[in-house]
Amino acid sequence: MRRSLLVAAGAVASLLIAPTAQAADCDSDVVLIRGSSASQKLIEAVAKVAATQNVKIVYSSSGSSCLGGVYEAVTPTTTTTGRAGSASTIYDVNAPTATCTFSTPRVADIGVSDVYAPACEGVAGLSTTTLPADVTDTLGPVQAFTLAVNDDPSFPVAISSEAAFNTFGIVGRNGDASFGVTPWTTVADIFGRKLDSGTWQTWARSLGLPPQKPVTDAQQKSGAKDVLAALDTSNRASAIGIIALNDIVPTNGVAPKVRPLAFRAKGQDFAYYPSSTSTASDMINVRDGHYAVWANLHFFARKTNGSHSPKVAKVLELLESKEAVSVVAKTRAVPTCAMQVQRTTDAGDFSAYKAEKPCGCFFEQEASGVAPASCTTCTDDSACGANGQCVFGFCEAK
Amino acid sequence: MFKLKALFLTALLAVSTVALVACDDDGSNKVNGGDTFNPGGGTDAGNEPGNNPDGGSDTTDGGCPNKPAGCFCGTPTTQAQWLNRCTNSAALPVNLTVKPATTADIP
Repeated sequence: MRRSLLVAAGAVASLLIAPTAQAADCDSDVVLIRGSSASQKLIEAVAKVAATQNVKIVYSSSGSSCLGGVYEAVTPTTTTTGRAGSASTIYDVNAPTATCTFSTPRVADIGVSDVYAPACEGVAGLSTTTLPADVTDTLGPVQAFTLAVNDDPSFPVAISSEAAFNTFGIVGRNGDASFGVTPWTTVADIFGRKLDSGTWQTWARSLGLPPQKPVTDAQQKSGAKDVLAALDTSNRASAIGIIALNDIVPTNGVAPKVRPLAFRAKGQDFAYYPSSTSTASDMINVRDGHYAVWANLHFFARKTNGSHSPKVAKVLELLESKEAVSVVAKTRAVPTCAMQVQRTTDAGDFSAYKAEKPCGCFFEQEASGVAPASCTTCTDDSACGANGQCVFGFCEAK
Repeated sequence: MFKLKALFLTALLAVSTVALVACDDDGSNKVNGGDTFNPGGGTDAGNEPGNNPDGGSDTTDGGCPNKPAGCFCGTPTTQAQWLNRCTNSAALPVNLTVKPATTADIP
């Protein structure tokens, strides 16, 4: 069942990213989204739903959270493509994939980031990281970030915060080799990201490293694909890289030859995977606070006269729709409705969280192919008792 | 009068017994009292996931799985309690040799 879902998801993804058959002109009604490349699969999901409600989405990946998502929020710039030098992807129910150019330059409607805006402080090209008063920050699905190694059974399966601190903060910066932690002692095999990466920003804060000091320049990769390629080609026990978990989800049934390490955070007694085991996809340890390295996607949107435009409001509303939750679950991200903890700053402490419409059962069904045995199906609230409610076909607590 | 007193004592004994076997979830004994940065008893980071090294039983009390060893079984109020709550997930010991470092050691 799980395999068929992955194959189906892969097929859908292939359709969405297939080479374009024709160029299209953007009309004035599209919602232009720009920012974190890690958000692309979610945007695809939302776009498919939005298209059925007469809202077209144009998405442009800038490759980073700070210079895409936050930049658009604090320093909006006009463009004809959404990204200088490249066409954007336009999602239309009748033409799922087509390149798009604007006849009139315009600014992005929504900027997407892996981190809160202030986390981008010090990134060159940003004049400020303070959101203007008319820009809102809507929290989207949670992404887990991992430390990945080559998939060899003889390689370690777990790492601690202290070991990662030394590896990425000292050895990875050509520092004192005596701080090296076996087997990650070779600087050439330690792969990080650039300063403007939300993945790096999240890891730095989680490890207590100065965010402005990533690994040495030669080891900074431009994107997740570069980190994966570096790990794949190194094929050594000493190789390790930082990456978002959804970047190593099998695509078209093919999984990268790397795997995530279980992580033991500062103050934690044991290491945990994002899900309950290395092979599970329930993401329970992210959802309940056992896995500490995660962040919400942030959707920055400008209001005019106190309100979002109806189409922007619709897109924000669809982030937690049943259809979006379904697709998000298959990418190893977690919609906020399935979370049991929350945080209000990057890598900040947890507090309890319960969504108004919790969706844990539906999430696990979509992520794993089967709902937990403890979940009860329903068609309306009457089946769920006085303290329950029917959410996406399952009884959840009110 | 005697019957009434006996009934009262029997009820008191029953309540006490229930209290003794119930889950202690007040939080006082839940977080590993040792050094959380270097917990003892770890064997090797190479343990297979799923081989939970808790050494305890799978008995649940009040919905708390009682694993891994030293886990927190109450309502968390601190970050350490959230991170160390009892869980059915695979909990892996980490036994890497790490030289203590601070931000002053970062070049």
